[in-house]
Amino acid sequence: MSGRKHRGSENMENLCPITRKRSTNKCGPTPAVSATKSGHYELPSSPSALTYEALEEMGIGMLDSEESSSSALSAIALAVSATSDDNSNETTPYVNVSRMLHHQQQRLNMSSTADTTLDSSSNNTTVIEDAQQRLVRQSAEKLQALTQVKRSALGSETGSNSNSPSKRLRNPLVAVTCNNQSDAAAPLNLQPSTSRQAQMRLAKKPVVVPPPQTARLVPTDSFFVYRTPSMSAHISSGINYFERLSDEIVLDIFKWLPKKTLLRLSTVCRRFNRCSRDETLWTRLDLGLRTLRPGALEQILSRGVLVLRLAQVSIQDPAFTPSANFKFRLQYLDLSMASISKGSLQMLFSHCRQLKKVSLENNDLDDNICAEIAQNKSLEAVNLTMASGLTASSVRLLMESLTNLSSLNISWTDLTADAVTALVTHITPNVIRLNVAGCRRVLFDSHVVTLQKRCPQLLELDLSDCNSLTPAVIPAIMKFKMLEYLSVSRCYLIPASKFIELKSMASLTYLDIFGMLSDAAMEVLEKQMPEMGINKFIHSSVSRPTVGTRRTSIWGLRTRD
Amino acid sequence: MPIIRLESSDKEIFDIEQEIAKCSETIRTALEDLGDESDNSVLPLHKVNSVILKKVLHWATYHKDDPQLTEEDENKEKRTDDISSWDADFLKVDQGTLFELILAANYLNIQGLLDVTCKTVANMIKGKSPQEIRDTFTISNDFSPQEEEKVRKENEWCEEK
Repeated sequence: MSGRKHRGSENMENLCPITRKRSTNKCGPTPAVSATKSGHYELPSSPSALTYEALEEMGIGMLDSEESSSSALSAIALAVSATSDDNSNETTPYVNVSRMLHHQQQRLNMSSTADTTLDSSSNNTTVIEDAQQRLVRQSAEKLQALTQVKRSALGSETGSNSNSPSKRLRNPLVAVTCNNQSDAAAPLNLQPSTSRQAQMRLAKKPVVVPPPQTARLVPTDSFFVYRTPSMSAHISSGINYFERLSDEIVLDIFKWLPKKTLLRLSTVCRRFNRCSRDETLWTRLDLGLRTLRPGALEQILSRGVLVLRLAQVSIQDPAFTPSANFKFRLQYLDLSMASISKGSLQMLFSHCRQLKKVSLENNDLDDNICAEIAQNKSLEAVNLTMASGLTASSVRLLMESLTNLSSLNISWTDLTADAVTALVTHITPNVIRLNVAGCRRVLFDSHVVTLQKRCPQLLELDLSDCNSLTPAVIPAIMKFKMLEYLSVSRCYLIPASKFIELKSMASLTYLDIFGMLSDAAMEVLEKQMPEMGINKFIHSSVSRPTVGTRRTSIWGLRTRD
Repeated sequence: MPIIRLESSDKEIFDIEQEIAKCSETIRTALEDLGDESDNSVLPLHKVNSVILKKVLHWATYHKDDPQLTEEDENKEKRTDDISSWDADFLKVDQGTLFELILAANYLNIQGLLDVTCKTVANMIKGKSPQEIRDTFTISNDFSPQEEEKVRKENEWCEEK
């Protein structure tokens, strides 16, 4: 480690464009390897004194590694170029580190292949890439061998080399314009082992799949920094390469694009139009908060969307073509707070038969809409919070039809007492989470008794704001042997002392009784029931597609790009 | 370390460690089929030329220690800005090479390479107008004006805000 600074400077000497000429002069034809081996030679009078600390300050923190890696060295080169006063107008201060490596190594390659009668311009980017990789992995011996080759080729190399630097600096496109040319003679680590040419090359430079050892960068007297366009692939080539790809591969590309871009792609050409509509690209979609044009919903659903978030959208009529007769694949639909006409809503559900989860929070419903919803027999979760227009007959139809329901939120729907009776009488016993909050004057103790007999397996029950409930409901509630969560917030007829009885419910973990007790009374209750989580959830999550501030997924399924 | 010999479409032979070559599902399956004979046999890859195969093997060598890709998860964000700088550098190539690499990654069934090359093309599409996309990839507009208008209408879902 003692030679760290020296090594740094030494490499700087070799990498720094300004000192390049000097080192060439000094070391003559055998500069590189000997310099590395001896480890010390005269420090160059660098334009700015670079210390290890200074380098670190510049964000180059890889220098303390014993086997000073190539990236560390290139980092030094970077630092040098950044601090080099004389060259600041020519070099690129924040040039990509690996790109610098490329060019250095490319020079190396060019020199090593110079005697294979190849013009240096035939090196293409493949060479550069391979050069970089080799640089990273080469062992010291391999590099030495390489330098031997280089040295042997130096004769033909130096001439052009000494003439070209400024030209190279000013022609950043040199590497790029070579891209399309063959790299038949490119020296590569993955050497073809049979072809004659390859064997020739092999004889000169025995580098075959170098082991992943740390590289010790060979200083070279031919190192320049110059700009290249970041992506030459952006340059139009005059050939439509998409024509060579199958639709399957085109979809592999399109699947990385956001929906907005897919829509824009459709007008590029017929094939893009066809591919961009593929249903594999449209399984999930989030259009929350948008305003949908007339007919757009039909377009959207006919793409085969499975998971659709339309929370708070405004859907303009007509949403569907009246005569259309098709079924959508839609399974998860979040229409919470959406603005949509009853007619469009009915049309929407008449085209859906495979819904699994649906949220109609705050929507206007009627019997026709409910009849269509009821046709979706596989519905597992329904959120009707604050929906209006639910009649007793609709509730009965829904409860009788939806036998796979496991989660229902029908809170604050302004139900009649008949509707509540229909609900608790016909609800499927499969339900494990139920929210019937807000049935102020219509839900009575007897309903809870019926519900308990119908659905003894309930895990979660929200009866908050059902303020007709009396203390007599507590024994009925206590018969739910699996109940984990209970809310009886603002059920004012139930006295606080009654809640202590719930302590004997082994399964009950959370109890919400907001608005019922003073702070002092709450303290007493908490002492009585130390195991119980009291007033932990202000908002019910039953059947709700999104909970809290998370809005990228509905029911845990991601919808955003 | 066992070696597999791969032959490109233009008859060049590449010797490569089997472990590295196995990132290609196609080669892995072939190796399993070969069993013990895999040491001396040559595996012909008819659809990949030597230039592209070199690049593919270069990529595979660098990525040989990558963790196995997990099952495609729809819940995972589709990111295209997570291309490593090494890969980004590796893919600074002309369009022809980039698309050849996609074809090779597909043929050889190398998911990691296919993903990163497809992401690169996706990034070239992003943020461009239809005409800019046509210009970038030399795609001709084969719609009639009426058709184009109809398609445009079908894809205007949302009111611009």
